[in-house]
Amino acid sequence: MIRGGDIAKGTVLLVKGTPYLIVEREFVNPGKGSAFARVKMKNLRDGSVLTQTIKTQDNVEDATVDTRKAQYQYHDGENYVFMDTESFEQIMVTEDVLSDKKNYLREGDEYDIVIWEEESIDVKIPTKMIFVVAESENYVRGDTVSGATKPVVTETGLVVRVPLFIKQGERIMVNTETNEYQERVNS
Amino acid sequence: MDLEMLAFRASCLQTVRSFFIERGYLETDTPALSPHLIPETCLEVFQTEYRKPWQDTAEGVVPLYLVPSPELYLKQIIADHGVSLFQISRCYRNAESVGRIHSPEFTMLEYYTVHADYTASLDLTEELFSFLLDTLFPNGHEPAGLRPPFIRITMDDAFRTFAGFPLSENPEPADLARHAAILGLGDEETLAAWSWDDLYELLLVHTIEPALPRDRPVALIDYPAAVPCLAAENTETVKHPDGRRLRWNTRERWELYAGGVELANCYTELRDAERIRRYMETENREKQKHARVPHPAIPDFDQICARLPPCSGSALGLDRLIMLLAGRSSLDSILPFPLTDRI
Repeated sequence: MIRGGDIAKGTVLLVKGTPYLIVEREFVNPGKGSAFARVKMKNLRDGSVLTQTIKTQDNVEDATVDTRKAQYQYHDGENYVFMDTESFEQIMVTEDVLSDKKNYLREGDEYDIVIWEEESIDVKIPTKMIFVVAESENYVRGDTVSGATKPVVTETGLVVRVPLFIKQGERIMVNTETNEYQERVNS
Repeated sequence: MDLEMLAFRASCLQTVRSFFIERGYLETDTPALSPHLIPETCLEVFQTEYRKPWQDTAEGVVPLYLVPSPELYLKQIIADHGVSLFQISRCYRNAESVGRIHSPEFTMLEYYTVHADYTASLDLTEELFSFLLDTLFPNGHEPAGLRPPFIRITMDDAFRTFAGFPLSENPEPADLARHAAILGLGDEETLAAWSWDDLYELLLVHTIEPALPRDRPVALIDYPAAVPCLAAENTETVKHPDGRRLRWNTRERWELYAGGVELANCYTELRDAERIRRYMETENREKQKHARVPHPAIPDFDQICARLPPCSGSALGLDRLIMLLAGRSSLDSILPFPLTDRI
């Protein structure tokens, strides 16, 4: 059992025997006593996504998962191939597990992989990552609309909107939870 | 943080200041440290201590608390001087998540208008939003979803529209448990054990908040009186479809949402000493029993509030507003040195 307040991204809950992976969690504290965890969770059997609100004080059933540290190596056309940094075993992660996170993978970087019943069910992406701008269009000088942005592509293929002053070859910090530009990284 | 964002943040702060100063509001800056606070069971606080010089005994240590809001001081100034005022200050709330829209240290904008009620505060807040958008984006390229007029909807109508039933016709916990079960929030048997307040809050968080429109700011107004707070109370009678006449007690309170984010909370301030005393007693009792960081309650707060002229106060999460003005969806993007990067 796990307390509602301890549920985090990557937790696996068992709802009437069906495993659900928490993909988003937000705590809300609307009024006097009760606080809630508002969670978005993915059914690990059929991939459907469900939102639920759980009291932080309530206990809910969870499943035991393992986390393994692994280095991302390559995409073999079908799976994403990682290497366990302790046992050097290969760990395969399928396309649907990664879905919109695949552009946060960089060859050689280490990630936590969540394993449930011997299957990789989630790859934990650090909240902040630094990327190099690989492709960027130059903007016309004089376009100084406050807060204006343009899309750029990083070395990993990630598309992110950045302020107009960002140039190709510069390094940027990205918040991977919101896929938003954070700041320019100097040096 | 990029220099451009630091400059944008500075412009937001300056624009808010000029808005209130132009309207004759007094700018205050009250302490962050306090030996006692207003007991509020919905939040946890930070504790620290003052050490008296050369006194290494227990008496030499004075517990102090970081204010979760400057309300306790602002109300004393208004009671003493009867002026409208505003303050931009750092506030501190413990034991909350650090994340996309939460930071334990945050910037609060509080503004109190004397001889005004909560609807006047809402009008003022609309003016503030227009002023900010006009000043910060003179060529009109402003972020979506912030431009007034705000959508104003009573809590009762919000439940009718987004949950399919009015709160006012469902006064019993069993009524709400049934509706919550129909909406798939749990099985009726489990929910039946919950209190009315908990069920109301579950429905608010799960069903109402996510359904609120996002193309314009939304003010949820007239909160159920069953949820205690320091806002003035009203009573009306509603007729249930089955013929019963039910009392529906509300409070003169609104909360403002923009882009799905809760931004501000406002009351017509309660000035009835007896009700305030009872509220303080209940909250304080709960606080001492359940809080992770219990603290002494501010003495004679009922007497301070009883001396207030009729007034309305709003508390607005300024970092969240700056985030929306910057077109961002995470506080990390607009906070210099966000705590998420450091803990």
